[in-house]
Amino acid sequence: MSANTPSLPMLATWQARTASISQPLRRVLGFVGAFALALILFSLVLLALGKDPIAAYQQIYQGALADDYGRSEVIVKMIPFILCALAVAIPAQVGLVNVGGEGQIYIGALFASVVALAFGDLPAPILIPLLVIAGMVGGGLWAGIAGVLKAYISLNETICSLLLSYIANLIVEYVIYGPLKDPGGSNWAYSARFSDNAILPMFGDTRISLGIVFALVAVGIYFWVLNYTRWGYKMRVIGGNAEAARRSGIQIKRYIIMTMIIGGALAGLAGMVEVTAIQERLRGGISNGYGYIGFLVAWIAQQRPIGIVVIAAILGIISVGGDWLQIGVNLPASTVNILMAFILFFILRNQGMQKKEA
Amino acid sequence: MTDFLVLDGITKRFGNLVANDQISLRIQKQHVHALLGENGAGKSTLMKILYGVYKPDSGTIMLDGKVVNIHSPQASRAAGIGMVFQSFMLIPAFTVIENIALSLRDVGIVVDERKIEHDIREISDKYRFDIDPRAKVWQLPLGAQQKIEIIKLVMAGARLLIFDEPTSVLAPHEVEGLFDIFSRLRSDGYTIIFISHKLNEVLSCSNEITVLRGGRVVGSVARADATESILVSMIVGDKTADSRTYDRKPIAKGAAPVLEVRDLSAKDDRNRQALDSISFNILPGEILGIAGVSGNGQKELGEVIQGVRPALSGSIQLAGQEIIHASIAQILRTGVNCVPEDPLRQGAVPVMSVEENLALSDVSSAKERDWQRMNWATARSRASWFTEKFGLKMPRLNVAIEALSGGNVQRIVFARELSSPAKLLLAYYPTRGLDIHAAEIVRLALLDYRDQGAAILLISEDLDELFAIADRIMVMYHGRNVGERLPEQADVQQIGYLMTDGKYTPEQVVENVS
Repeated sequence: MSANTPSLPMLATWQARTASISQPLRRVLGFVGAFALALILFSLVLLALGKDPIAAYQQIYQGALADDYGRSEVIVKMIPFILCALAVAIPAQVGLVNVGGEGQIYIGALFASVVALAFGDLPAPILIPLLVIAGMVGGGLWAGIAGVLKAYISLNETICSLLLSYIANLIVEYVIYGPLKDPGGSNWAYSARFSDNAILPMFGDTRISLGIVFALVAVGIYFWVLNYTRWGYKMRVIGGNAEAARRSGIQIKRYIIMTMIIGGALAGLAGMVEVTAIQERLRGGISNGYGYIGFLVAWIAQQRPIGIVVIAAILGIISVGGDWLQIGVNLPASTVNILMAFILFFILRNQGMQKKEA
Repeated sequence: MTDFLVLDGITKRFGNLVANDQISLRIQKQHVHALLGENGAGKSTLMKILYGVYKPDSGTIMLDGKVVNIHSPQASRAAGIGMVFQSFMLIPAFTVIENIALSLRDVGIVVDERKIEHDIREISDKYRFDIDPRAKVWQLPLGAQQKIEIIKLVMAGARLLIFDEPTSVLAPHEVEGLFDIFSRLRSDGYTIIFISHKLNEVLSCSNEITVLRGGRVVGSVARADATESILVSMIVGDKTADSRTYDRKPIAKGAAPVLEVRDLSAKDDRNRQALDSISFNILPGEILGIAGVSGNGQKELGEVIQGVRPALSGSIQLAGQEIIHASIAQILRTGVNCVPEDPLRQGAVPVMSVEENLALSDVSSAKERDWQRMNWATARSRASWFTEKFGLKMPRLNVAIEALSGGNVQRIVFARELSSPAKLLLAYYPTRGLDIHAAEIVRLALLDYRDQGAAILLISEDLDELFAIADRIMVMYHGRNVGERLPEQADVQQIGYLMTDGKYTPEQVVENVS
């Protein structure tokens, strides 16, 4: 710890004491510490609202972890969280900040819905691969726009992908009020229900769909590519030092476009899973902020593959448990967003300090 | 005339390196005093001491008859010392007035722009700067920005003005203007220190010239007594070519050149002419050493050959293939390895481990496909190869390369680039910053690489090194090839003339004899 870093005296002593502990252990301790601080601060917020924090945490536990249903719902949430985290993590390897997961989800969902509605008669073993492809093409195209603009005219991919999300949202709104509006759905703005062939198979009687397999396979491929292939190595070289990458003959533009497309394709896959497994039709608001939560997951996990799964599970628990706060402690479900923000804040602070130490 | 600045016994060490060794210097009031010396001679260190950036290990500084303690840039400014850096400290989006207001200590809460504007106009008129105080800085050419820096110093009450290579940013016609400003400032009582490597500039504007070499003062001469030949011998010293102890290998006569450059021109980062129709070639098994004061196109030459910088015109044939429009990857695949100028920034990924960095040179190899597994064993063997063959210890392989010293980073990048065969090796300053033992090993490795048949383009600031291991020396001046010499036939003085003046004529020899 450098002497000129301003910090609390107590914290400084603690850090001095932990200085002798090994690096990986310190990372875990730091993570747990940051997490605990976030929980404490959230307790203060609850107290200020006149609620009992212990009861609230109990409620989160009860809702998300105490029974099989809660646990299965956590896994249901992990599917979009993991896929959207990968949508952020893959471009981040080459130094890009993709905040357009929302839009990529919507366009992926739209493409999948068009295929599901047009080819609903096809048998599931043919239709479902088609839906996967459609979702990925949609999301990949949408993110690819930002990638191409970044590569060829240096347009900032963060702003571009963010603004594209608004456009994507409006396109879906237009489609569900217009061309794809359910003819039999009186005045509701959604598409017709998909045929049964287009619905992803579920595990047992849970809502856990085949999507979890997609998500875990995607994480596995990400891990393998990143660490063991020349492709992943080149990505990390670009992210670590673009100038050295250029001088080593790596074609940076191609990687910018490709990582954006692949990231977007995975967010699009999340959108496809959402419409085919959960909603069973295209409607507005399907994403529920998954694009942004995926962003949190990727940054908290520092884009590490295992970390993404772990953090997706933690945020999944908070998110599922949060829905129960409304019933149990009479708080709006979105209150847990405050907790998520605290966690991100403390963990980023922790990562920043680790960087300074190094 | 009195001495305005007296330096006595200034010494500054950085670890084992003595950057300034017992420097004593007297600078008279109202003089333009030039400091000359090769890169690394200690000029910048000395000026940073004067400006309060470094604290000397020993020695005293007397300004205007009083001993001053310059412990910080603020103290330096308060003592009346002002410095014009090579890169200006200006905010492009601000006006001239706003930039100057920023540098003033007593502007108060409300900036009195009228007062500042009036002062700027007064100084600008007096020295014929022709600066519009309301212009935004980004709209002004570099020459005008330099004048703003001078106005800043004059308004801040500086009496001693230090110019660190001020002409490097100027067009030739602006240089004359700067020297006129020098003489007007001088007659108004200012004292000026002018740092340069360019002999003709020093001779045309200074009253007295001090030469530094290897961190020491070689001597000071009055302008009236100075000639180019005297200065050249002072700068390069009494080096002779016979300090070489390396074996030379005769080059196969009539072999086709590996690299053939014809009429190559290119621009630098500031869009000025960096390479001016340069032509040369390198044979297989030959080291071509490039001598030249830095900033004469050496950097751009290597970059154009690598494909990193576009060429304006000309041709580059590598092993008989035209590569002027080829991509970086194609050029690397044709057989070019490169030890870059700044290994950490241009040839390594700071956050990656040493092992991962050792793999960087095979990303452009055509043999392997992107989805294939990384070959970490081969990467690791690059470091052990170097250790085994040359007995130079390598740092641990699992630490992030950014945690290592510059010398270690350099070794690793060097070992990596020499561990695979190439037709052409570009080596920028391969021994810079290395200790004597490591530098020696690097030179032996270069010779070994040459003996295996590679052509080597060696860019170095160290003339001793070029004389020791180059098979041929080419001198670059203003982006041109101003002469090629065989080290055994040339002397250091000749090379020195070519480097600083771009020419070597018999008159200079006569002058030298007299």
